[in-house]
Amino acid sequence: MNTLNSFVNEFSLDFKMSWRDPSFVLPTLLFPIAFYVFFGIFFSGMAGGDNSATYLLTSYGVFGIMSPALFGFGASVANDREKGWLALKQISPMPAHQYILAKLVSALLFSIIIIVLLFSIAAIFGGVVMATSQWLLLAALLVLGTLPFCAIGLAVGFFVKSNSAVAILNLIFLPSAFLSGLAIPVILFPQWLQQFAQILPPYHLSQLGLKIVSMDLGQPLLLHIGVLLGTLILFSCIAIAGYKRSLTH
Amino acid sequence: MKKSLIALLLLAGIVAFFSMLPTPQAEQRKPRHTIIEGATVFDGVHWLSNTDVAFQHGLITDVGKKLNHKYPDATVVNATNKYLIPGLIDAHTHTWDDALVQAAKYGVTTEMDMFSDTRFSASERPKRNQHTIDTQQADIFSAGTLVTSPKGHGTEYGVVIETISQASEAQAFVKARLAEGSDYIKIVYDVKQRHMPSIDKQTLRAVIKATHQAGKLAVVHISDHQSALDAVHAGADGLVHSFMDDVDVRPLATMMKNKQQFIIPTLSILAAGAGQHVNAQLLDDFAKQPRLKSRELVEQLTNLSGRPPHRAAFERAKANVRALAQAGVLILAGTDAPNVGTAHGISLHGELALLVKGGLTPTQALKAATSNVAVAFNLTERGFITQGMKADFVLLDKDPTVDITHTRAISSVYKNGHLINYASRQLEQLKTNTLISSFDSDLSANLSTHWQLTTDARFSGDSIGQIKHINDAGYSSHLALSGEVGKKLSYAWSGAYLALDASYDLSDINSLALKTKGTAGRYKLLLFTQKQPMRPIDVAFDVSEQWQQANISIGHLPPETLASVNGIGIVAVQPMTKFELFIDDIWFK
Repeated sequence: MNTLNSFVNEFSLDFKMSWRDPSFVLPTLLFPIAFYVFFGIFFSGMAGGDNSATYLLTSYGVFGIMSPALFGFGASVANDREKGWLALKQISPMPAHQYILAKLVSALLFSIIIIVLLFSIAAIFGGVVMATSQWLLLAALLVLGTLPFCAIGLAVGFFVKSNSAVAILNLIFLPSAFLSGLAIPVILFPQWLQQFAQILPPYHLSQLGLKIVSMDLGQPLLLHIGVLLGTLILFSCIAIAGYKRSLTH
Repeated sequence: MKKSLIALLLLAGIVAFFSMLPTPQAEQRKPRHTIIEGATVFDGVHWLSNTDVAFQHGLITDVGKKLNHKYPDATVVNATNKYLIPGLIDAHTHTWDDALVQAAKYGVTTEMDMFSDTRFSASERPKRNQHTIDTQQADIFSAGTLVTSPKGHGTEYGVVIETISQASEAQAFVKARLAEGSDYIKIVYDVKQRHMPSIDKQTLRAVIKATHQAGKLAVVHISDHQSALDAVHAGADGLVHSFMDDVDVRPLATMMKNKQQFIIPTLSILAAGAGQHVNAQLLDDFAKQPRLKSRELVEQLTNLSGRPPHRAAFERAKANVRALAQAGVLILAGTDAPNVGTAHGISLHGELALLVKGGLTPTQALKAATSNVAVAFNLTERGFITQGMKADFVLLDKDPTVDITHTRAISSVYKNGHLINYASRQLEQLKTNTLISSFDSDLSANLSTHWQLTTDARFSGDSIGQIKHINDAGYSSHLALSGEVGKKLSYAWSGAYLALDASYDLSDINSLALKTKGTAGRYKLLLFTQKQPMRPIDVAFDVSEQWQQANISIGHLPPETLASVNGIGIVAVQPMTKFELFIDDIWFK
């Protein structure tokens, strides 16, 4: 009970800190919503015919969950490390994994908030209609899909200073989101760009999401899962190495 | 304790949230299934009399009897006395430009391209995996760049392509093609090298081997018997042409049968090559269907660029097909469109007739253009009418087993469960002065069905209305509306609605002209377009208590939004409450 308590305290502390930081909350919550409202609802019909509201729900969902994972997780770890909080937490009686876990749950909670907001708008204004199983599956996928991006954020956070972490994460976030076809479907890209998208994790997550609504490009399910799992494992290893490095520095 | 309560509440909130999200069942305007009812169905293998086919989201969900009991909320299309066959597959084409759109109008819903610009296939290929979208065109599978020797066949079209000179390059060459997205590999092989150089036998063998190692099919372009023998020996999966040699083809046929190798005879192109005019009846038959505009294809189908007639050679080509078919070799229908004497879509109907002349039964010919292609190329979702297949169909008015030319009696074509639309170009012709409704005898309209009442009631508004046809003792007959615009919805309406039989392109239309009289005030013309499924385009116009001519200008609207109009509404809206409206003589000007 004691460890659970300390975890819950750590988590609610982290969540509240993020929640009260407008430079995090505003872009994280507003950007995907604003983009979706603009491109998915007002200009619907330009991107993918009748189904663009559904298509873009998936892609802006991916866009939405990337941001808390990369910034809420990665950048804030970098920040904590630079301000000495990380060192303090490492020597505190609370187990170190609880610190990470609390940050993770906090990022997941942000993802869930974004998903609920996006789904509500899609259902009420976008005319999106799906089977309950499709809604649930898409939500579950987006929540789970947060994990590889958390790993990327964490890996950057442990290695880079907080100012440059935000810059680097932005460099990863925006171009990879765009080049993965989250704003404009990849089919509309030139061939070489389409091929480039194949190495980007957001592309594979959005294809998985589009598979749920049968709007994907028909690549194998295992390819997408494989790339995302690979990303998760690779960057988790890098993050662990970074954590060990932070103990010695 | 407090924290677990919060967690529990959060969980309950999430469960409630997901149970409240809209599901397809909740939407009543779109029935869940469509049933084509009572047709004689060719499922790709057998003929099934009086059978229903149900589909949803672009895929066939059920084939059987009395499906309307099983899916009571389905939209039913009555097809009694009609014949439903799978969407046709042309097994040999060269596809670019609007070929896929043309093909679909003739019931060809899949094309197997045998060499074209890889950029075209790259952009069109992904659509074949999307079952629900209304593509209005055929799907494409493509060989991409063909495999040929330097200066060989395929290099003469002014497009620079990679070529192969020796067997050792085979692995890399095939790999490059597959990287470009080729669905299968097409090889050009001519042992005699009569007109142009060709790869040699070792290279042929090596390319086929490399293709098989990559798990793909290798098909070979040949034009004589010896080349066919070599290709079959080398292990080709199929031949994409037949030949006109005067030989005993039985040894070749036996070998192909035993090794399960197929042939796409392309009699259409062999006929053109032998200077045979085979398209006269084809053009006549399709001239009966003006919506297809086959007249535009006369030049393409009849000008054989001065190839000298060689009747005997073409007779031999047909005899060879007969011998191959009799031996049990899998025959696929392909046209080689758009080469000399052929065109996309239409020529497959010509090819079917030629195959029947070459000894196939009409049912065998239909298999050659449907299930045989699916089997030969391992296509998983087409070629059959069975559960799980794409909802690609051709509905025929006449029985093709009696006469294969009855495939030309196309009633309608479905692609991904959507009707192929022939209308958009029709309206361009009639662009000025198209009468929609004169109301001389009833509420009917040209281009469509009948004017009906429309109100916001289906969105639970409280507007009411009545629609009538008034025949004023021969003095004036017109449409009469009366009703009351409700207050419940901010966008309340009550009025008349005309569902068009298809989508029309109104981008050349300047205005909608009509005569009106009624409760004075501002009314709205609504144009329902596929571009904006959620809300119609609206244009306001005024009505007075005297009959007057109104010209509602739509010429200023963006042409792209007018490109696919499928419904017209004339409605009273707020602040109007109780109203009466009389309408007569509606024209597109």
